[in-house]
Amino acid sequence: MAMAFLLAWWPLQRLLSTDARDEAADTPAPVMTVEAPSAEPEADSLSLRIYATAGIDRLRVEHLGQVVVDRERIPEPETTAPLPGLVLPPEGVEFWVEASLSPAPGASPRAALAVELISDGHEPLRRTLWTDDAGGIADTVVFHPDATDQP
Amino acid sequence: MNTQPLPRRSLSLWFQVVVACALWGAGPTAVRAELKVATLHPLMTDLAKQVGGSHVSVTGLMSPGENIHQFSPSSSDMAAARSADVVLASGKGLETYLPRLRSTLGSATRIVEAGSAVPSIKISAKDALFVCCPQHAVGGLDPHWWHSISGMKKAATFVGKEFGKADPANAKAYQANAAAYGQRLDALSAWAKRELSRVPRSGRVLVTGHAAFAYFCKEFGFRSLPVAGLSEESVGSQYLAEAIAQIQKNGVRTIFPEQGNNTRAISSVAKSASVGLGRALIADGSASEATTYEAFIRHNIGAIAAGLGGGAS
Ligand SMILES: [Zn+2]
Ligand SMILES: [Zn+2]
Repeated sequence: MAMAFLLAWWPLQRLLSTDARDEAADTPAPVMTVEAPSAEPEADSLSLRIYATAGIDRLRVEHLGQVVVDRERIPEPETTAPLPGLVLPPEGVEFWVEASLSPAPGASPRAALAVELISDGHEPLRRTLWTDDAGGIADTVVFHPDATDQP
Repeated sequence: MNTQPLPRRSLSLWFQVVVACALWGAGPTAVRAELKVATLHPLMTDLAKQVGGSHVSVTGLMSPGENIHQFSPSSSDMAAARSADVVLASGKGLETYLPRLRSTLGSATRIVEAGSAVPSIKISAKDALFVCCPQHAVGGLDPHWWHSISGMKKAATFVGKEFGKADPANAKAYQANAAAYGQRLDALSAWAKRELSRVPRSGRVLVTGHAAFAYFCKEFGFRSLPVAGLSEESVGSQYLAEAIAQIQKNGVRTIFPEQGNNTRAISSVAKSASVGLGRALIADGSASEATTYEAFIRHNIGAIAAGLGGGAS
């Protein structure tokens, strides 16, 4: 498990590299819920950033039953979604995440999806979801304001 | 029963099998029949069927709808348990009569406590007033483990291994059944998480009658607040005031009665606290309209998400 994690973690870290971010910023976002971050975001505005160790065939994120992201065949390495009006209460905030990933043929470690809650002036809070045998993810992620970050 | 004469080919095949059996030293009567399983809780009846499949015959000694905290096996139940190969109990001290039962069973009958595969939660002091019965007091093990879907998956794996020990010839089949059932439980768990994701984390307070939902609360990020116990005896007015204060302080919109237990007391709490009454939950896993584990979970999660969830489904 630890080995598999390290193997999977490396590409995740690479996805976070500056190159990958620049590339994402250059790619025009499709119509859906994905928007380029505004130049002067509000002090406490929250958003999600999602990236994976494999191609994302389908991604759906819901908050309290409302769709936050619903996309197919995402070409860019990461997806962001603003969360207007959302605050992070002490009890935490939960998202439902449904995705199917397509790892390269023969890729040995299980594919993973990272979900980050970004708030200005704070370190992003990250949760990692692993795919099942069929490359699918159907699970919730919870973020707490005071929780230490997961790997 | 096929009474037609067997064709010549089948006849000769049958003859070979019989001769082989005789040479092996075992007559046809020694060929293992189904594994006989007697269960002590309605959800264990379903678990035994899911894991045992076509290799077991299951007798549920407790009928769905019976009160699990008051059940005590009759003499005919005891006889059925004695004739079983495996007695499947829920465990964690739920069956307070288990030591008595064990002493009457022969060494051929194996008692399997499914709950022993599930990490325990102790009954907390804050639930002291509204535990299920005197046998399950503060500091003891909370026996209501089946409210955890991941717990049921662990139990299925464990029961698969135990059935395999009792019936080694079909051990592989039991393990395969348990694994397949585990996958269906994963899907059920994903469904439950999605339903409950409609309930804000700040609104996850589950107000029920007796302290039965600790495993559910741990699994799905709720706080449990039992306010009425199992009996219809009136609760002291001071505690009632405290319960109402807790409900209002936590901003609870809906509280939940339990099927078969203390509906009147919960209704009066709801009225006094000016909150809604949700659909009745199946607190103890014993209900005639939900005889499978999946139906039990769907009933409760559906009621909780409907009562506390805000968004669209
Ligand atoms: Zn009890
Ligand atoms: Zn109970």
